[in-house]
Amino acid sequence: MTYDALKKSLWMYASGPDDDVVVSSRIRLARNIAHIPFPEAASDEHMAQVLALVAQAQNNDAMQQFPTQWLSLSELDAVQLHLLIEKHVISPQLAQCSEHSAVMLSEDESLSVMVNEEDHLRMQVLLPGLQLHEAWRQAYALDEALESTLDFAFHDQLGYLTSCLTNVGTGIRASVMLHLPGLALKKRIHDVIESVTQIGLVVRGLYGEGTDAKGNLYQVSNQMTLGKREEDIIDHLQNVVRQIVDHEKLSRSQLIHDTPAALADRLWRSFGALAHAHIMTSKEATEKLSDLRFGIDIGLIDPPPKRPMNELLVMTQPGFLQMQFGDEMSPMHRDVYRAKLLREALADR
Amino acid sequence: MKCQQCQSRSAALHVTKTINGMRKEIHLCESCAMEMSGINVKENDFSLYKLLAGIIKDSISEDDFMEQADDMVATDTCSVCQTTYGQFVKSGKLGCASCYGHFGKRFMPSLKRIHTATEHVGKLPRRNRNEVQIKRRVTDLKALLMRLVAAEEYERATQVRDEIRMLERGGDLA
Ligand SMILES: [Zn+2]
Ligand SMILES: [Zn+2]
Repeated sequence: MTYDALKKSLWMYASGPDDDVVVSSRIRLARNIAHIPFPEAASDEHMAQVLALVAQAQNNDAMQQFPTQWLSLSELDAVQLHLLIEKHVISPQLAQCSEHSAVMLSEDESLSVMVNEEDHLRMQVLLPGLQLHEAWRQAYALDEALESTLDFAFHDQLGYLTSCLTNVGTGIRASVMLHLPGLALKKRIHDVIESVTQIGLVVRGLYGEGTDAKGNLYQVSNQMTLGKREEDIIDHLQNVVRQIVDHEKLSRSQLIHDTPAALADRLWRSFGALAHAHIMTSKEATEKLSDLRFGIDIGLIDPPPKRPMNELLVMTQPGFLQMQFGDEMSPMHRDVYRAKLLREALADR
Repeated sequence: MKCQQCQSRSAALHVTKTINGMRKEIHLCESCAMEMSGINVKENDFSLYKLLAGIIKDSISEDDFMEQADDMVATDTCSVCQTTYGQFVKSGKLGCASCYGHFGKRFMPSLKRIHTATEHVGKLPRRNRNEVQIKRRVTDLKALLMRLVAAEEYERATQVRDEIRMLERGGDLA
């Protein structure tokens, strides 16, 4: 098994609709194989049985439309696992039970199937920009293809059965990652989170907690999985995201109109730090990269660096730095290498 | 139990239906049921009363998850995966599909709190897609039949009854 963990995932380099605010869209489906205990109560033999059944399904006729590579997590080292998490290809939870888990991964890494996570299967489609419906179309087809040889646990009334009650029914988690620097600077982010939470959606900071999300990156997802059709769950999320995008754009134009000098000063100072600093902590990089992304998206920082922002975001994470610059690395060394990587990236415009 | 309509004879037709999580019960004696349906059994080839009784009975035993859970002895351990109710409460994770049958009655209120619903209406598995769609259609038709009978719309009720029969005899969705 050869896998280049430094390989970039589609969402890191490709552009997508509304990607000046919506970084990525994701659909995840939870499924379990009928008549085998869920991972929570499964024995080693059960886990092995699940791995064998899914590996078999990977090669069925219907799956030929989704060519994937099979990665056994037990054959990957800790740094490679870390990179897969930083690319959002696998969950930290899957990496924890690496002994009996695996992931099926498409060439561009937009499609992945985690095996033996909290449920037997967690299928994921991850696309750049606002593409929830396209992600659902692909996830639906993937589910159908796997189902042609797998029998999923299903109850007539409750739908697809999952280990946690929060996923039962459709097993769907639709989410978007949003970059909201305008709302944050205008101090409106708290109101947005509060109102979104009241209509059955969940908001969390990608880095850091709650309203104090580092880098102004927020994940918004559906909470309920039972009693609604998948399409309705996705439409609801999509409509709310559209409104958040409008509010974000309004805040941005207000900032540009009302306080142009203060805004340009802030964003160019961050550019300066990223382009010239020699020690850059993870926290500082996350914050400054948000400013840089903001500056690029409103056309202030032009020309932009050649390396896409999503790529820089992931490349400056600890696992990636370790992989690129050497195995043993103290946090101090990491900050030095992070600064070096950013200087080089920003010089290349 | 007394008939709801005449309040005198004992009820022979018992209908329990869960609609939007609310349990509705109807108890009628044979003559009130016939009177309400407007059909005399002896003169007609079919009996709406018998039909209703038969149809409603299987819809309860087959489709209502709450009813299934009701039938179970309150267990503390899932007999299939050995997960205990205490373990589930602590970890928030069920051990297998059978845990839903064993603990379903106890966690149903939380399930309803989380999702504000207790019925899956989304994607169906390929293997039993047709079967589940037919079951869903039959459940809907039975509810419709009840409403039609209550509204004394017998002509349409007869059509609906025929469609239910056709589906239950292995017919396909139109
Ligand atoms: Zn009566
Ligand atoms: Zn169980």
